Amino acid sequence: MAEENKKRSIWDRIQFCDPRILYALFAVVVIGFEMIQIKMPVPNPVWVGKLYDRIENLPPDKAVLIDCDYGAGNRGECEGQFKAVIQHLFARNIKFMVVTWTTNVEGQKLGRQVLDEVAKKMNKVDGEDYVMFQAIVNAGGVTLQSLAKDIHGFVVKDINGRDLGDIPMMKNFRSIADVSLIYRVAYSWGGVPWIGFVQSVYGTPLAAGSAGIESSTAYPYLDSGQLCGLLAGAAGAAAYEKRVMEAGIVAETGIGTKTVSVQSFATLFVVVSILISNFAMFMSKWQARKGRA
Amino acid sequence: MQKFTGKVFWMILGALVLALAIFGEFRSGSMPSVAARVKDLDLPSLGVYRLQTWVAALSCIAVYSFLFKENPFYRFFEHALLGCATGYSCAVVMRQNLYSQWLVPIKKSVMNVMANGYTPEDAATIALIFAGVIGLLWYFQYSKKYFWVSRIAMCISLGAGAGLAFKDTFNQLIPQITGTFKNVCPTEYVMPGASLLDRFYMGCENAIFVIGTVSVLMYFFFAFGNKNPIVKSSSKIGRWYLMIALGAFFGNTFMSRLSALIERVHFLMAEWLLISQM
Amino acid sequence: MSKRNILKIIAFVVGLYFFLEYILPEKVGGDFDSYEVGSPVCVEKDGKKLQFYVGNYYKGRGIIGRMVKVSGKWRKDAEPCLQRSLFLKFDQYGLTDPDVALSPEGLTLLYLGQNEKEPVLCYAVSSDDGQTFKKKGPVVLSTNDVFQTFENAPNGLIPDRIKAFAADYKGGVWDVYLFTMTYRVWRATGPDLKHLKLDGEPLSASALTEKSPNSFDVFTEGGSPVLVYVMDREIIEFRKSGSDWTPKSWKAPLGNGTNDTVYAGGRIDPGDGTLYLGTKKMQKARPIDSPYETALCAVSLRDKGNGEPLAPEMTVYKKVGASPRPTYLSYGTEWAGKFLTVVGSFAIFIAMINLMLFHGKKIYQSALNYNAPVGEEKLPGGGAPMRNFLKNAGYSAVFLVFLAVMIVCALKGQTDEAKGTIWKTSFDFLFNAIQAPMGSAVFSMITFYMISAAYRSFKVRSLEAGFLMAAAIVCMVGQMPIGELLASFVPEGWKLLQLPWLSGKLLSVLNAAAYRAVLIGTLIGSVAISLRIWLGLDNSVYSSVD
Repeated sequence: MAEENKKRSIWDRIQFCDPRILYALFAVVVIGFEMIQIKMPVPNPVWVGKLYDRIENLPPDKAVLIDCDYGAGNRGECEGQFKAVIQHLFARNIKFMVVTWTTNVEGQKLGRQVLDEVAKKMNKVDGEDYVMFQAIVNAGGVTLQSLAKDIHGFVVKDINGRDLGDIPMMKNFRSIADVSLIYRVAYSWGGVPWIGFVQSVYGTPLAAGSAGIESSTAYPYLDSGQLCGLLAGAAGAAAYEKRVMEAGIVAETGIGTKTVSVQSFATLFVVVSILISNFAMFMSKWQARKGRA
Repeated sequence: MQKFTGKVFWMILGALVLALAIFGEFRSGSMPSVAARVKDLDLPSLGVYRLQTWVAALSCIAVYSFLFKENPFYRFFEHALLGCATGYSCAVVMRQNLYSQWLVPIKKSVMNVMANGYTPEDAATIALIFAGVIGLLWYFQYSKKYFWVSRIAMCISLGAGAGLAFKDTFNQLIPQITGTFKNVCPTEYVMPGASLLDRFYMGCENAIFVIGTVSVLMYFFFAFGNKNPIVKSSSKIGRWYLMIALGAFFGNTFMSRLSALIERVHFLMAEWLLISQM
Repeated sequence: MSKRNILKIIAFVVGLYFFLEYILPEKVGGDFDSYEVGSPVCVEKDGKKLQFYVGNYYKGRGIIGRMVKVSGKWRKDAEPCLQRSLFLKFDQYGLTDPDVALSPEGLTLLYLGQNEKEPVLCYAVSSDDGQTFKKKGPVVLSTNDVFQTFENAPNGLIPDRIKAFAADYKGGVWDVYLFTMTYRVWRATGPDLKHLKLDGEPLSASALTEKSPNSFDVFTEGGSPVLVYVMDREIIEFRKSGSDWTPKSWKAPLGNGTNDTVYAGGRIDPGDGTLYLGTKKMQKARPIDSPYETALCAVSLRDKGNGEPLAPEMTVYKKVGASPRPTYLSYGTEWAGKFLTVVGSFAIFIAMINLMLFHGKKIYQSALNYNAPVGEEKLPGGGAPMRNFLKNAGYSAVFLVFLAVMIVCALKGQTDEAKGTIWKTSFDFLFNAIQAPMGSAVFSMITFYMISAAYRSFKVRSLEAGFLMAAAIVCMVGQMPIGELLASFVPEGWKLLQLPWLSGKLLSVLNAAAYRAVLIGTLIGSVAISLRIWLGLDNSVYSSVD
């Protein structure tokens, strides 16, 4: 093995190094910057600003419908997106209803934890300022059609088992006509067909908070106007948290901002390692050509 | 190098982490951030919170231990996760769908009919009993002889999905197609107040967009041959666009996974070991 | 008939229902006016004030509703009183601009029916106070004594296309004025609406033809007709003096003086000189929303001087927003949604049952040290029973235990009522200690593999691979704070070197263009597949069924 290593040039050894070295260096970078927590300027994507402005201008007599469909795997990205928006809605005294699905029950539990935490801090009451519905079976568009036409008749109860008719807030919100914005926070923003069955039929604006993977598929819809705002990944969450903090709604940043500052350096590490690997490849090829010559 | 990656190294590292964690336990009682967390999560006591955190940390470590080798520790937690996830989904469906959204409204409607007589709304709700009958047909898949009966429920769902797909598709597709017809030469009427340079940049951007969409569509046209120079060059341009889109997709994918990892590292360090800010 | 064909027919019928629900035009009942309201007209019958107006549940689908004044307040009927016919072609696309008069037949409602070709002046009669109307078809006008309608001329021979109209019934004679697209006002009179004779010439006064009203009305005062034009921000009243018409106008800057409100139409109640108006307020234009906030209001024109500003009093106020759009099949759609969600609910247990069967079988075979019959696969056994059990079915037992515990805790501990109980604590514990952290950890594990894969395989061996890498790097770094930090060192004018700007453009232009093309292809493909499944051409779905 040592003999073989001797025969391989330094560039080959760099190119094909033991992946455990990479893991170890990566772990050092992530853990190191997690402990140091350097404050960095947060990016300001255009679509985050558009969603913020839209929420700033929402009419107070209509509700927002939040589709909380993120799982434990996307907590790092989606929890910040969810939390920052509900903080903004609470600050503007805009009531909202939270829809969850049986296909991803984690969304209900995680969303509920965040909601209860924020509501307690901002003195908001369940049933007066917000409602979380029972989980709904996602049977595709037919579910959304029924939900849009008659929320009370379709959902029936909230997560605590109270009839929607008995909830003070829900007396004024009966169908999609009473909704001014739909905000879907999920791993995949397109997992539930809001565009096909609600946004295009009733004209209700739709915004999305999605994991980074799926956010690149949202841009055609943003361009055509079918989506009115996008929070893409942890960066989107951080940008919204920054706006919410600058507006004086909260005193400190959230999980999105904490994540992106570490993510920056981890990304830089990966970029540098890819560049090093490519440089090593070029040098190895050049050496081989020189050797042959 | 091999020595450093051997058992001794991992044992030392594990012991250090454990020592740090145990040390953290002694500190946790006096840390206001921990007390705040107990309050936020609405837990009954600090002890329950710390136990929960420890088990969560061990479960994370169990998952990451799979990176080295499959082991009983990982398998135990894997099966526990499977049990919890399955149980939670079923409990939610039982309580929130079948009981609250199906049985309770039927019961209410039956009592309404008995008390006040027939109404169309009550009849429609009572007719949902039929939905339960169809739902039970799913379980015929466990019978070899009557397996085909389970397909009835499947066909109903399939037929509904197929019928609704037209609405979904056309409602999504038409704005996408119409949105592709962008103005490549915007005049002042289209962009009032914009300078000539701004309008030029907008025109270029729109032209890049339109060319990109059309060329990528051409790239995927396999129905006719690409001997035509226009088709050939369009599909070449489409390839470039696709490369860029795939690169962006890879970048976003990586960042997404990284966020999950950083969230876990944050949990381990801030909530378990208590060595970074919560 | 084979089982496969039965299944195909079931799928086809269910799909057909939803397909028809999408393509069939709507017939409305219920909340018909939640999108827009306008064009009110008032009449008094048997001492009761009735107001008819046009409500839209969607752009351009006008339906006529009714309000009754009870104890000084206007009360709206839940159901519309007149709506479009699907099979008669005159008002297929909706009803607009109603006018109402009392005639020997009863309460007569005239309206413009919208269709493919041009508006048709139609009327309907109600024998009660307007709760139900019977349609009588088009009003027939003629320039001579031949009262005939044609395929292309349902109103008979009229000189031009109708834009607005006004009608009055007095002394046994119908007096109908038409404002046409060429800015001319024609008058027609007759004993009934099927025999109206047009005057030889239009009204000649130039004042009448200078402006094009959104709606116009006529009433008789002192034996002379008075025409009222409702413009965007002006009301003009024309009184006949000799052969001329003298205008009197009022302007109405609504919307806090911002001029963002216009009048959409209205008619005057000659009894008390109250003008009933529909108003439209322009909101900030957004691409998908309805741009208007509409309302019905009333203003008294008596004692108003020329040029005086108006301040209408609100009667009905409707917010912007489309309501549910019912179709012929709409009452079934909600029920179908509930039906399918219940059917779907039962399907979710199949996963649980399959897992329980699989793991239960392992436990059963291990625990009983089951001797499998010849030919059946046997679990690897040997050794002491407990060791054998743990080795073969230990994890299965773990799964079943956690499944059972989680089901019980979740059923009892989900609601707020369970706060403080052992069930809620256990449920929270299981979720926060096992399910959530492990889900997150599993998702994040791939990062390590991605790092090593990216390091080893992400090599620039061609120009295209270079572009891919460059796009990935720009996208990654540009969206991060590090990109923002690096951009702060770049001068303002050098946007191309600013990674956040570059990554934004890359995503919103290049990436969006490519994805749009892929999306168009995918959506068209999904239509094709849906069609195949719906028509039963795809047999893979029905495999293992004869």
